[in-house]
Amino acid sequence: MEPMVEREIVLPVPPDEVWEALTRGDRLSAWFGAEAQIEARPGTTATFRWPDGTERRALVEVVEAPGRLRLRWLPFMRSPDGRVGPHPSSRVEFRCAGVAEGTRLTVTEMPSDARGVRRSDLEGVRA
Amino acid sequence: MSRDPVEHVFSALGDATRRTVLTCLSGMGEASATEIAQRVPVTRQAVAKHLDALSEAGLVTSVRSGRTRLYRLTPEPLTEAMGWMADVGAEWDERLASLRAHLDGPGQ
Repeated sequence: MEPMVEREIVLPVPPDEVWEALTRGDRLSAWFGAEAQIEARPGTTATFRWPDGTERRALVEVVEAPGRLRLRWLPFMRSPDGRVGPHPSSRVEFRCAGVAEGTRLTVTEMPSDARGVRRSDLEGVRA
Repeated sequence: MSRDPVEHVFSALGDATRRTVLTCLSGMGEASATEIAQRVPVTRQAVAKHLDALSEAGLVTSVRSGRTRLYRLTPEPLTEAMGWMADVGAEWDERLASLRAHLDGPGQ
């Protein structure tokens, strides 16, 4: 399935270290843009709180150290004013592969319900 | 809690036949379920059901024309969905730049 959003970066450190940066709350919080609480165990819920007070939660779905981590954003968001409203649910998958220069990290994000939907499906349909 | 509109769009598009119906309608401008069914390999009844689902997601509207109903694509939800994709992409660009800086930092 062609992911909706895909990004790739080569990082000059070994996969184990990238894995730490993905799965430890204190390290994740340092770059994610939100204060993160996470336990790298499938079935647990990770919590993210942004500086403006927005909060979202994600279900940890897949944990395969040090190569694959998948989270699923739950379909709601708490706004700064405390109100909870709907928000698109999507799956985020991180893949770490060892390469000569360090680690190739690939991130994909895909709406949870979009079975078989490709980017081109959205772009190709216009009035 | 109501459903997020962008999520509803992706969910509505998560069916290959429904995507075909939508693409077909996009090419025709305005069409009845019967006219669409002539161009896709499913029954008129199935087309009508898909059009209902697309309508619920805000992707099509319809008007009565005599005894038929004419459907038309409404692109705004698609634009919103594409906007979501662009926003998410930009978010990841920022995060990954931040991750690199974090891994390059002192003590790493």
